[in-house]
Amino acid sequence: MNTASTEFRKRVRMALADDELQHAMGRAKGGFVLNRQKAIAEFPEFHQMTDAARDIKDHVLMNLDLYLEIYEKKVLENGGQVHWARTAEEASTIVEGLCRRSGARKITKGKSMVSEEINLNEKLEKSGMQVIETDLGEYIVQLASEKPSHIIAPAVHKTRNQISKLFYKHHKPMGYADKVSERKEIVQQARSVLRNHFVESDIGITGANFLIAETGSSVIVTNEGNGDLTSVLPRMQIVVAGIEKVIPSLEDLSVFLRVLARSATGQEISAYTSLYSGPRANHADEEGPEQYHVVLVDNGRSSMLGSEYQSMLRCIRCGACLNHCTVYNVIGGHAYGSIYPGPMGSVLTPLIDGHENNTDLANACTLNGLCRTICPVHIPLPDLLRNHRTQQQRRKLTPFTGRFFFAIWVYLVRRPHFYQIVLALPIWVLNRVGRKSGVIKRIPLANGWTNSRDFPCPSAQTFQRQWRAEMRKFNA
Amino acid sequence: MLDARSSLFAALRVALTGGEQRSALARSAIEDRVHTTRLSARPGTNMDLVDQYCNKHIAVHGTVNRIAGFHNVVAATEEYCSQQQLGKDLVVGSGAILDKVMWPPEWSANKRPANVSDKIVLSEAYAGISETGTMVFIPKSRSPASQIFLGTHHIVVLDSSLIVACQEDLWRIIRTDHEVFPRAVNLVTGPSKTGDVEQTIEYGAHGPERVHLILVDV
Repeated sequence: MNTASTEFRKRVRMALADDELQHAMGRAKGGFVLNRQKAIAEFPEFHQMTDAARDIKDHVLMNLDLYLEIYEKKVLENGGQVHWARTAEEASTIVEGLCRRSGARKITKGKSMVSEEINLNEKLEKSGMQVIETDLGEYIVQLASEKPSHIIAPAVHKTRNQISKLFYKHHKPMGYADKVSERKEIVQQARSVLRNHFVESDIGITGANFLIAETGSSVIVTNEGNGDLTSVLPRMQIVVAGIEKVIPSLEDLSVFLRVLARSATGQEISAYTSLYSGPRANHADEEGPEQYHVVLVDNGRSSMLGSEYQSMLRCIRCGACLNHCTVYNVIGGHAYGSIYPGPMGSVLTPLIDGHENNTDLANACTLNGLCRTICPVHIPLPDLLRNHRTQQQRRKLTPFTGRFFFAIWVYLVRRPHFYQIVLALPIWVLNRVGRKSGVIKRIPLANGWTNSRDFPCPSAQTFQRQWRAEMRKFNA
Repeated sequence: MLDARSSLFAALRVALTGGEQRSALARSAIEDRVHTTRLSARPGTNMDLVDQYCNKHIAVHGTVNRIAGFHNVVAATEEYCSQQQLGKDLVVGSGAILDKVMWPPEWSANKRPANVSDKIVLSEAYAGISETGTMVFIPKSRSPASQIFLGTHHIVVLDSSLIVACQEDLWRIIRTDHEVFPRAVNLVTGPSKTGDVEQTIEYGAHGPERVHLILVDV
């Protein structure tokens, strides 16, 4: 078994045994799902809108080179600058260079998954700059020296008690002598601490939910307002975004905004949706950044184009597939060991980070299909995960034991009569063991299953045998 | 070696056209797509636009006071401030309505950008979107973004005739009003909030804790 796989299993075992994590995940579970359902029930046009969103993305992806050119031209017209990065390393080097050359010391950041993908914070900190995450969830995980565990709720794995301790440890030296433990107090303290950072910041870095070709705007969607204070107050604004974020026009933006917030948090629209289109000089403004930079990141995206994984580039990072995933809701985001967790992460990570280090992600899935059903841009996530599994099997990247038992199973299902004979005995035994209570609490050699759930008692005969018997009765 | 831009575009063209350059025709088709307004399905409503706007605004934790004429702005502001026990020291933005308001001497109405310690900010919205109860701001020198994001209480004055049905109507108005698309457009729907502690909503994360709308029938 390869190291990545061993590590993954270790992390999953730790996650399942972590009471605080299980408490936090148990609390969060269902809230997002319920809110989304309510929001969609109140919006009859939702499904029509998701079809439109998918079609816009497909159209843009088929013409991505042209849309990027139009977008770039518009940003330049607006007085901004565009930088292109083929890899994560290139992207973080570009941003680091911009920050260093401008003599920046303090940098505030809005929540950005692509900045996590390119390891931006480490790069900037290595150059001696202070980087402050300003989204409350991101700020919490930054204090804990962790990575986000959810793409829209980075600190979903943290309990209030853990946050309270973290704040006390980090804020006490700043003069906050009392330990805060109520939600309101925690939020107020973060507000108070971060306000000063916003004003003192030299450079603000954000991601982008969308880039609009028509106007050259970068769009950010937040509920806290942190992304805006990050964008507006410092003298330089840097937007880091994947190349797939571009959309044609403002009307297209409206289609996405209508599905994004409903899918993510069950809101009709997030509290703040902001369009930023360049530095102050070009607009004869006395406020806003003096310099506006956009760093466009490929990092594996262009190679997904035209491949069987192209539909993954439609993803708008709403997080709905995480919220609905049976596996994610139990193991949490960190167990995946990748920046993007859950169904979308299990598809995306091997594509940007290679299959070799990420073999288990595609297998941490029950293929129940829920993520496909709720995806607002109709990404066939289970199919893509199955593609990954096939590739891993072909390239012999999965553990030997798995492939061995799989080969036996394939041998059997191709020989139905033999399959019947081989399975009749274990089914009969399991039925004898469990027929009183209807469930089996322990199966030798299969406690991986029975430790965390009961095994349903099978009926005394195989389905096929029962079917034949029923058909005989029917025909008679 | 190709620079990053050229090699990135080369990779895109390999994937999309087998490496061929795009024709002028393909180019202009996409240019047209960008600059042609295409309307997709829009949420329908049978309600009066202003009524729906107020309902939606209240649903996202906002409060509303509808008044007749700009000369009632001071009284409406006073009503809110005394309800909330806020005093009479506020930052005031600019706009068609606010520029006409005369503040009596007991008010300290400061026409400047807001800072981190300002409690009350009064500013004027550019438009409203009925679909979601959204307030639209186009920050400029005299109505800076700090006024939207830094106050604890954000009181917003809006001319009720500037409420449009949906986002698409807003984009149309902005295009008509501005030769060059504005540097910043902020759509604000309710007060600032976060669910990052135990997935439970708390208001006043970084932006205003409360948003109070003074809707003016001009």
